[in-house]
Amino acid sequence: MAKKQELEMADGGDMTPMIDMVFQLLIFFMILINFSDADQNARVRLPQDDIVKPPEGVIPDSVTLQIARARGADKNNFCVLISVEEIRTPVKNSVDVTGLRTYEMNDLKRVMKREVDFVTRKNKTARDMTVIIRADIDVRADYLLSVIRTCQSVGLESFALRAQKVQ
Amino acid sequence: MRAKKSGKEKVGADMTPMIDMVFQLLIFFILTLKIVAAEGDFVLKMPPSSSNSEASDDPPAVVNLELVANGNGSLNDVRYNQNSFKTNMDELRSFMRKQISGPSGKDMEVVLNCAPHLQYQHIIRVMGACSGYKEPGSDEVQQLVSKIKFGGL
Repeated sequence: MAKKQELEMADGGDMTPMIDMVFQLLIFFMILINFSDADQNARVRLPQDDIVKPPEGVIPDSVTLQIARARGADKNNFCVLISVEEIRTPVKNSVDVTGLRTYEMNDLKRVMKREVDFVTRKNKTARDMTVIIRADIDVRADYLLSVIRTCQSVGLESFALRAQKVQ
Repeated sequence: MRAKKSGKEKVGADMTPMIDMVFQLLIFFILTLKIVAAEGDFVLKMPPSSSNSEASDDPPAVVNLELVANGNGSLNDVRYNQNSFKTNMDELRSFMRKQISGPSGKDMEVVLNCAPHLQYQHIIRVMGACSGYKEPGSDEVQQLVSKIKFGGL
């Protein structure tokens, strides 16, 4: 009786259903929140296509490269971003405010080589790896090809070009 | 007697801070909720051309598309031999459907030769047109070419 009185509002209304509802909503939003979107980046606007196939589960041994416009540069300068958690060996490089490391093309080969070395320690080869490329809509073809060429130079040959699915 | 009576009374916890906290959490989760559009991949198998030593007896039919760009990086034309599809992706898709229904269609390979300054969004458009189509009124994707490569690699 004493407990019930505590959950009553000043005018005598029962607050229990409201609290139940609030808890339900809280649980709903907690489940819905997407913590796995670490590979999203505000600097990368993906192109849209209605044919693109969503990946069936997590791609094993994958490295996500984000290609965005370099900060403060003219519109034809781009850079590759790799999320920090995918770097197995720390490297000296600037960390973006979004938690990404920025690489110029010269550094990219070194980093990708390290990624390949890491996978080969698990008795796998570079051929088993997939490079997921999330490039901005404005990225030039020659820059994209130079990124792919750099990856190929360390033995990588499987690539996934990411696009947004139009519903 | 008085002491015994007070020992049996239930001590009521104040629920107000908990309800405040729950509301704070609820507002946090509502504000941080981000509806992310579904993403998908165009998968490319591109071994370096120098290591392409697996010469088969029956090489696949190759369609070399030339992607011509305007000065601003937008798509100007998609060419294949004498055919020019301009920027009409439906026409390119119909062409691919005809090609794939041919005798060596199943193993057909498309090589994209892109202008250096062509923008990524237009490459994806062409890749989409080459790799599949949807029948009107259907949401199911019909697969066309699964082997797409970039020229010059």
